[in-house]
Amino acid sequence: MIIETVKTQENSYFVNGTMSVPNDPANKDYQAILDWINEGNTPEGPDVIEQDYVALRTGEDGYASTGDQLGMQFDGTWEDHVTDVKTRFPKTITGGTTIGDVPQDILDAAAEKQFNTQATDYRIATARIAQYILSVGRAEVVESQPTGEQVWNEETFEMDDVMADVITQTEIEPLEATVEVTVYGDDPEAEPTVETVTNPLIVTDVEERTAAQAVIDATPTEVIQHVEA
Amino acid sequence: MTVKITKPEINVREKLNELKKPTGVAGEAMLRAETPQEQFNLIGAGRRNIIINGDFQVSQRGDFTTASSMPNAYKLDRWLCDRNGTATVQHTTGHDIPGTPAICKAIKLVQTVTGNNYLGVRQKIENPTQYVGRTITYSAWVRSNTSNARIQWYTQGTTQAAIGPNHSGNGEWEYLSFTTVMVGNPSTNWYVDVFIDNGSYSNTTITAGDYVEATMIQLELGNVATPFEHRSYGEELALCQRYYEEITSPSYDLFLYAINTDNGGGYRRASFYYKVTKRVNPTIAVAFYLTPGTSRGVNGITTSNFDVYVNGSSASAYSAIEYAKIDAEL
Repeated sequence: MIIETVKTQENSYFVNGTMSVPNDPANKDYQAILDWINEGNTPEGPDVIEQDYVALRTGEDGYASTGDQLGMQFDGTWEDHVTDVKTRFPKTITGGTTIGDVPQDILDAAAEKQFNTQATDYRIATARIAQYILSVGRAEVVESQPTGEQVWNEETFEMDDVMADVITQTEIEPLEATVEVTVYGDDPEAEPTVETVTNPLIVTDVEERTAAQAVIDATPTEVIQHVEA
Repeated sequence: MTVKITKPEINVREKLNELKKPTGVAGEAMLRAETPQEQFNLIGAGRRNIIINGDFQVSQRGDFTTASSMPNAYKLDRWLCDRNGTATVQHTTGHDIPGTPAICKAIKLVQTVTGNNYLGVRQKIENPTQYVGRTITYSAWVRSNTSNARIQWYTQGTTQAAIGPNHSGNGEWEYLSFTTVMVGNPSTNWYVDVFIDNGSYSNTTITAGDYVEATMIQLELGNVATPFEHRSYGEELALCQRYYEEITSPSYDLFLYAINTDNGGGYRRASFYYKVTKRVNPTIAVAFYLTPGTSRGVNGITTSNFDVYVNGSSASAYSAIEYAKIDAEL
């Protein structure tokens, strides 16, 4: 669905003038509206209907019932009642429809979705960057770790751990920077040629690392702080 | 006194041979099963297919028997068309596939412009976390003229891409299946696909005229691809309507009379109940007789019904709808 317009309604959003999308995070179209807002679009607020003086005078706060007005005439208060209603609802109140504010809850929901998406993208990107560079390889890491055995130290008169070197990270040789590729021409009679090209695995590695770094660079500071906290 | 008793001779070897029933491998597996549940699983009893409308019986959104432009949208029920090139979609029928009714229907997607694209159909499965750690077998009948057509699935969240076998590309119906264990934690969706792509969920060169056609798509627990589970049209329709349903009234009459019930407050409302309770509060797309807006529209959307309202107390304050499309798809 391509969203063009979103109009706020009572507990729903009227999209493209054809469909009503409920205020329900499990609805796929509601999620599409959040994405649309995060692309820089703004929904239109709800219609706020203001009644005109006729509706107000005949409404709940307007004229009393016919029976009550007959009673007022008998009591002599009827003119005061009519004057009061006309004063409160003058003919200058012509009514109409105005546009209200966009509900804050959908703006907050869109911001939260964007925040969570950026956090997820940042985690994926940092994990990608943390992988070793194919053209550089990976060095071996050796750590001295206790074997679980202990021996008596005659100088300190204490039991000491027996230590041993353990490889905690194996070495990986860097990939060859270039590879040879046999190229066949259009002429089936011609001998194929051998060309030296950059190792495609390294090319892909560089592209993926560049894309991951771009994601990291574009991540807002508050998202990074949230993830790293 | 000594009494002599004679008994008929018994050939123990013959008696043992009589115990050898012609059970076969499957029968022996049944005999080896230690619990009824194990036997139940062995014969694939009960409802098996997790896929809905796997044989493309249901098409509530319209008649697609003629090839038409394919958008990235739902056409046949529960199946999302997905492409980034230009293609057509068609609801085909009458396929002669072993073990299939003569009326067997399928979906056919045809690339119309050569490009570096992907092309396929996808069903999104609800609540995938319930399948984590389970062995899943995916099977389908597929026909294609390219060997880049394949069956596959992947999960969002902790992504797992399970790439199945590809079609030979010989233009004949082929039965494809594979078994995988779902790992990770699919936090949102599980996509079950029949695609033309490069085999790792990316683009490949698709030539104009390349097509993929699929039917009898089945996803089941266990490591054996059992025969496709045919459900009746009524059953499939009801399953589909949990996600999508249409109410139509071409002459507007139904809705016109329903709206004339004054609910007070200047608003008149009428509730319309779905045939099947929806997965979530659905999106309601309506075709109003008069332009919707402040004075008439839809609200009160729930998983069981929605309201049509009109604002105004005069006799002319009415509205009518030609149809309502109720969409709770994933």
